Amino acid sequence: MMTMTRMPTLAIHDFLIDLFFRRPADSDVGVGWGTDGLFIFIWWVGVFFFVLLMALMGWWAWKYRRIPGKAAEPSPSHNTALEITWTVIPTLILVVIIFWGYNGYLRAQMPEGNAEQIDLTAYKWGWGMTYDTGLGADETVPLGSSEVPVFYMLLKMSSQDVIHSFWVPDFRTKLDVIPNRFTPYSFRTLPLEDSDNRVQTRTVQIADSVRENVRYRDHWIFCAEYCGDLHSEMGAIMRVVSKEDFEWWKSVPRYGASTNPVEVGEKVYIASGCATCHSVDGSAGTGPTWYQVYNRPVPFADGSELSQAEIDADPLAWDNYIRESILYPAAKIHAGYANQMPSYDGRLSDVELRGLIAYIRSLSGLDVETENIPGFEQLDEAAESPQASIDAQTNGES
Amino acid sequence: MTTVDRGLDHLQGGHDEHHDVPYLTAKGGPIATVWDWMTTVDHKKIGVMYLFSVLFMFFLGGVAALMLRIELFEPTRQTAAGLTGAAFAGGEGSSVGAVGKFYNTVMTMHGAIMVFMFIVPGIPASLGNFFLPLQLGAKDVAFPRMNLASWYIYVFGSFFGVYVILTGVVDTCWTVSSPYSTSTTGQPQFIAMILAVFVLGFSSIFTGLNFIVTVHKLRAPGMGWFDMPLFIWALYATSIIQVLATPVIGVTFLLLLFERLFQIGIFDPGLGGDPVLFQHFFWFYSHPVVYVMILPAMGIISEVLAVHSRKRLFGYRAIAFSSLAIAAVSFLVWGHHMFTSQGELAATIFSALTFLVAIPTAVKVFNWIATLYKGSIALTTPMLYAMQFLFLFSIGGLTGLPLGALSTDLHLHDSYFVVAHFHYVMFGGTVIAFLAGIHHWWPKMFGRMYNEFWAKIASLIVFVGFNLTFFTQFFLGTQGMPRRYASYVDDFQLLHQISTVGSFILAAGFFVHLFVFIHSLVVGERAGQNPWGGLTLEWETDPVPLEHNFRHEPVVRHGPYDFESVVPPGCDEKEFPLPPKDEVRTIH
Amino acid sequence: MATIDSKASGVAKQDPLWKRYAPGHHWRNQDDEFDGAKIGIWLFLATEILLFSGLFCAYAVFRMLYPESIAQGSQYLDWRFGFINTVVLLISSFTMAMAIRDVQLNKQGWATINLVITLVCATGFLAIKFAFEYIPKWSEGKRLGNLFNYPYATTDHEHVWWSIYYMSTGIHATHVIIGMGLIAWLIYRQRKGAYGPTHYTMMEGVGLYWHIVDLVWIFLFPLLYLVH
Repeated sequence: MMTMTRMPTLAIHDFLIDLFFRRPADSDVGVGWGTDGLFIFIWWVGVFFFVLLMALMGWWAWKYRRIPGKAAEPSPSHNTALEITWTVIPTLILVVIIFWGYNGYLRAQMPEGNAEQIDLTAYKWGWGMTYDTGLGADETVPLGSSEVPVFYMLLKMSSQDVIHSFWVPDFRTKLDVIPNRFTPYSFRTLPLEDSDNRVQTRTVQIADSVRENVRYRDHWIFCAEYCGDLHSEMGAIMRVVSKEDFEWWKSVPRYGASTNPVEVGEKVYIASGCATCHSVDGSAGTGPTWYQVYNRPVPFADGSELSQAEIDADPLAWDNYIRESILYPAAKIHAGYANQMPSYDGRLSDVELRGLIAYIRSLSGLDVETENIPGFEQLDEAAESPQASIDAQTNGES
Repeated sequence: MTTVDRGLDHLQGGHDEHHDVPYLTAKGGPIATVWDWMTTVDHKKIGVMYLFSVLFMFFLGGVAALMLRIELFEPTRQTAAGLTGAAFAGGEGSSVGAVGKFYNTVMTMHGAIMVFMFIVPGIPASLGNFFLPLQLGAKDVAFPRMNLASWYIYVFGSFFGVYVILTGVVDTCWTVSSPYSTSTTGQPQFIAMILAVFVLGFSSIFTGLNFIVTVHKLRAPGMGWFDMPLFIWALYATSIIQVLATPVIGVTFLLLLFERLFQIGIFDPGLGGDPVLFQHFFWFYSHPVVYVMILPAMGIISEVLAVHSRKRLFGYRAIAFSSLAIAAVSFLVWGHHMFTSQGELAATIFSALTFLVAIPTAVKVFNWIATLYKGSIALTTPMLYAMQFLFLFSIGGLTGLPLGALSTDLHLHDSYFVVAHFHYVMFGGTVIAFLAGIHHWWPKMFGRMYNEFWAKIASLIVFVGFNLTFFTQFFLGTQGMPRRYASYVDDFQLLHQISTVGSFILAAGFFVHLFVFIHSLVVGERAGQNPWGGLTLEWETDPVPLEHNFRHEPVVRHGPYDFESVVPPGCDEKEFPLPPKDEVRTIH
Repeated sequence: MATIDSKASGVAKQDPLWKRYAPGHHWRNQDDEFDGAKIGIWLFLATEILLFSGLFCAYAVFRMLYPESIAQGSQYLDWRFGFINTVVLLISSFTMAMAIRDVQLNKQGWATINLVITLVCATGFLAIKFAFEYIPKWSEGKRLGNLFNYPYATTDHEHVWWSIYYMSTGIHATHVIIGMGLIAWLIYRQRKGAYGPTHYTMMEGVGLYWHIVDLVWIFLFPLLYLVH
């Protein structure tokens, strides 16, 4: 039906689209006769009626201004034909708008054909994606996408905590992300065209692999449902690339043959959203900083602490504390901070967990050997059961 | 023009039913006067007390708004960080979080104060209380003591609410959406705010109940339903909504309270509840309440347009019935606040019904403009504000169209476009009409005129400031700026800066109004009985109405807008002439 | 409000209060005041209906979401107590109406008796509720929300059922208590002779309120106790 055909092109329409949206829509739902077209139509209807009414108001306010001693001329106080006309005509226009809007809405809600499904998780305060290969996010902005004229994308979205809303303004659609429920957000992006001056080219390096001339276009993602302190900071970038580039990007092994845990940890720090709340240079944030904290005492919100004595007695005490806090953050809350860290249980592999711990250790200026790291193998056996520590915590708190 | 000048210093020692004094007369020393006002059941005094309180709440909510706009001048959070201090800290060392909580707390304060403590009581409790009985020719409302109770409930709820928000960390926004609201910190303050709103709801119900009974049973002899002024029709429709919708927010907040206290598991998904259910419950009240906000404003516009253009309203019955139609349909459209979170069938039905409610609203605007045709239009301050209303409310209403249409709403929901839309209808609509009403009825309420020149200057400043503040926000919204953001990407900065400058101009306009009002009360020229030449019954009272309103029970012998055949009471015929007899045709 | 208007014809100082009653000065006559009061009461009762509809709506939603928990939960309620309570409230509604009739016929003695029976029935309703329903269940752990700790619960969301049960019947019981206060006030005023054939507005108002309280229970009882 009304897919990617353009509206009758008038210079004024291009101007209006620039004025309102900065650029035409980049999804098939928004472009052409879709959302942008409907918006322009409503704009013209509004302008017509507004100018007409205000002109009449202004003209009559001047023409019939009060002249002392002169009475108002008699005039009818109702006119059935006129009243019916100005009821019926707007009604008809509104019916057109209703159906036009309904049509666009259905197309936005219904994924077509072979849409690639990506799992999206929203949490306070960031986004996480998991692709069908099990791959998580990457790069300094945690999202990537694929696009091609016959390729579709479906996001299966869920929230870890409160209601968020996934909005890509350039795609002209959003959908709320609700806890305990999956909501589907689907879109079909437009091709990357050479004439589009937002398309850029770069060289991508992931571990040992390099790919050149990757063309891409960036779009903002914003959270559009109030979710607390850092609602404003819960943005991200949707990067649109070609299908070949996307398949390459998905398939490249992330951590290469020679795995450096600190590098792994640094990548995970950025990709999994830790950077939103934890700084690595000592500056304050929503969560405790990671700088110079390894193997130091930790005060907890309930008054207890991980003391220096405990750390000295058990070389893995601090590592186990960090591992537990990543997977079950509510178990021990650092004093002075609120219990609002999302859980990463099920979202990080052991390689990534170990990497994070190594990275934190490296931020304290301590050496981290790249191979045969003592104690790493023993981590799983020695770790105390997280559930037991949660029970201890809950019963202690009452 | 002959005037009846009773003056305000007509002191009498005590009064009985046979010797009535203007209602503003002091009852003795300052303590006796204060006690008199605190225990009064006179609807006029209660109306005046409400007027000052709601305007004070408007000031508080406005200060909060200015704080938000200061923060939004820069794209990052630095501005508030300097101002915040330790009061709103979210956690030791968490400066970013602290600023986040500060902005969100002030934002919640702005919304909650403006909605629950200013605009919902707003016109009905102040101008409505004062003028509904007068326009009906009654001595008071049906239940005067309930009226006083409603005032005290309002004071209690408001004081409680403001205190809580100022001292606590309630950052849920006025819509208290679950599950954020069921899990955020600050339990005692949150519960207290819920209770404050619950209490304020009773104030609203009592006012509405009072008005409905008064309209049914206390009209003057000769006043049929279609002889009532349109302000009364508007208040009647408003009261129906208040009585039927407010209990729903009451039970909603009661359930939310139990959810917080006992985790009953109704809204919190972590406990098996449904967060979208909360939205349904919440908006079932909160949508009709926006019509509580606008209908009385529309009533004022009808009055002001008729009187200041000396013209019968075009389509009286259409305007009257459209008020009732809007009240009825308003209960059917709540889902349009939830297009992005509910199912497709529900969304479709709500979209269609939303456009249905647009039609009676549009018809009203057409009727008002048609009223101007062949009128005798005086560009007084009330009239200027009425024309501003038509301008601003039209923009607000028309920008509701892309929000009601499903596909455009998917883009615009929860963006600055929505913020601009509702400020145009609530502020550019209701508040502007409120100002029109205050200026129109000021001489009747206080027996004094205000400085016309400075009032017009103030209205011009308000108009310019308002449009600068909010027009840019439409573009912010379409370009992708979400709402409830304390910081934003750099692209949006220019529009935000224009908006912030506009907000301060707007505030300046209100300060000029404040000075005009104070000046008028202190040294203003004394008003006559009927300075504008109105034909409704309130203009038949003394320049400052007596305590029991009328000297003799009024009998209605003409329609409320029969300017073509009746000389207004207390007015000189030369100033308000009738059309020559041979030009008066029989018109229905 | 009653005013002693000795200038009005036909009344003397030793007449009962109801005979000396004069309506508020803003009313045209006493009939208008009575009609106005009735409209006012009905509007208030509309708000009560809407309040309870919210609770019924919550019940409907959770019945849809967790049918087993609702079905299982309602098995724990003993329908016989609910039935007795229903009968008790119906009797109290009847005696309330009879009291109004008595006042209209100036049978003040019977009016007192009927009002007292109404009050006794209301007390009985609450007594049965607390003694045989609330207290035993609460002590077994069948409580609302996070206080729930019944060890033999067989369904996941039983605490939701109990939340609905306690909230609905609890808010209803609160209205019964308020009603009892109003009826006690009526008894006090009626003994002083405030109500008679030409003036019984307050009794009519409280009576209407009481009937609505009864009506709400008539809906709650089958919904909570009988529907499984």
